[in-house]
Amino acid sequence: MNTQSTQDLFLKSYDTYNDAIFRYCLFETSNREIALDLTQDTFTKVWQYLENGKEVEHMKAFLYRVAGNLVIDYRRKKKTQSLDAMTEEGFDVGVDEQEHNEGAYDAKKLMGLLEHVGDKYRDVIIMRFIDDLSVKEISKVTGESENNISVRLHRGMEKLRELHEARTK
Amino acid sequence: MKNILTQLKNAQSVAMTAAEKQSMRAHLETLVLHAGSATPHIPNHEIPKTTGASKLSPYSGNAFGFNLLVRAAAFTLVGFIIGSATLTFASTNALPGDALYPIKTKVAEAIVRGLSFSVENVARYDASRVQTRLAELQTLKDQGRLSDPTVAAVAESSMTNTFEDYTHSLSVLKDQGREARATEIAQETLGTLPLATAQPALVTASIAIPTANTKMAAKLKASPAPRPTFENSDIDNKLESLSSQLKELSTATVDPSVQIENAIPADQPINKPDVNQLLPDISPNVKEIQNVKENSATIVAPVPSDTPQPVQEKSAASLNATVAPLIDPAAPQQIMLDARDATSVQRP
Repeated sequence: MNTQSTQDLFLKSYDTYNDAIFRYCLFETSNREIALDLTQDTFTKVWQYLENGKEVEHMKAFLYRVAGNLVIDYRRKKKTQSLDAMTEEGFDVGVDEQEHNEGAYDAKKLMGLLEHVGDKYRDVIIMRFIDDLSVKEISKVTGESENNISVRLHRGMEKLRELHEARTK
Repeated sequence: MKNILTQLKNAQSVAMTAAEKQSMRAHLETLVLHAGSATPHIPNHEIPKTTGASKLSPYSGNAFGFNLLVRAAAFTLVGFIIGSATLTFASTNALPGDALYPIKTKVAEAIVRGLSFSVENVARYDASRVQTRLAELQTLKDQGRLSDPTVAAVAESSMTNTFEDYTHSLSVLKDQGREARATEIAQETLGTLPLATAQPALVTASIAIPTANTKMAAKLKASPAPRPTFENSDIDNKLESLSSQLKELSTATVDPSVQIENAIPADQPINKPDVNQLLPDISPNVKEIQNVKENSATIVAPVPSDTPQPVQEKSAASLNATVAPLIDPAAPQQIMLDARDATSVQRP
């Protein structure tokens, strides 16, 4: 693959998946600024990988894997911060347009719930239900079997429902 | 209540703003366009690299031409100085028997003494050291540590050495022809010596270490040279009396009271209670006790044996009578029989 086509492939990947990767980072970290940084870092790292002449078979899955590793690094470095505390400090979930106010409200509540679901369940739930990745794709990202991912999704959703019901009561 | 799945779907509307997307894309385009160049241009994280030929920071060790060995030596020296200073400072309140006490007497005091420029100052400092020794003895006595022979021996030798230093520095001053000044210092310092408080401590120390006393006396006798002689002054007399007191202590009998009596100076009267004065007060009480004894003997005797009495009032004779069968080898059976009779009588 020549340099020009690699550049094109990379910029096209950015245009296609920037929102998805940003969303993933945002729901993983519950911090807009950190999510923006992690998104940029993800694409930078992918470009460095491509620049070294290495090939990527499945760009979407690869981007998620890189983003996932960066999220893990971030969690190790930073102590977890409560979403309630962040909201008090003026944290706002980034929504593109004004008419998505309802969506923003839901997203805030959802982040609060996802914080308590557990890392392994949260990852697959975000990828499957927010970013619309297929179980096969998630399997590629995480390197685990599809069956395992399905079970994890099922248990994660059960847990999320329980949390949701407990909060709305 | 909204379904959790609906909420998850709604979360898909979360996205970067157009400005954010554009800014990030611009950054990535720059990165991509500089592909292949040695130092890619990264606008967000632009950190100029310093090359070897650039100016050195004055804070770096090499700026002053220090190599690693010199720096290591400097650090070691600084560490040693700080460590020594800390130890010396920590030893200020050390007492005989403490681990830091030798540092106090042999290092800290020697340094201060060595730093004194004039003999006069040395003499003054030695006088203050004598006072320090006395205070240490007092503290040891208060803490009850003088009973330890090791501690007492250390305290005694330290006291002797300090006193020798003091008398020596005074004699040096006198040799320099400044006899009047030496007398003045001795008067000042000995006048302020807390003899009243120090004396009991010395006495206690002497009692605790009778062997050390003999050594101290021997030392004082064997080294008459350092002791200054001041003619026409009472300081020499005071020194003489102090050393004679110590000698007396060493040769005194084991009886502590005698030692204390000898050790206390004549000008300090003791408020010893007179036994004869106290006697008249006690004698009526003694007589009363004697009367009670006699009366009790006469009361117990005439009581008839068949009348019921409290156990406490039984005389020695009646107790013996009760106990006698127990000692008799044939008695156990009799007692058992008596016991059976008693039970049979008591039961209806």
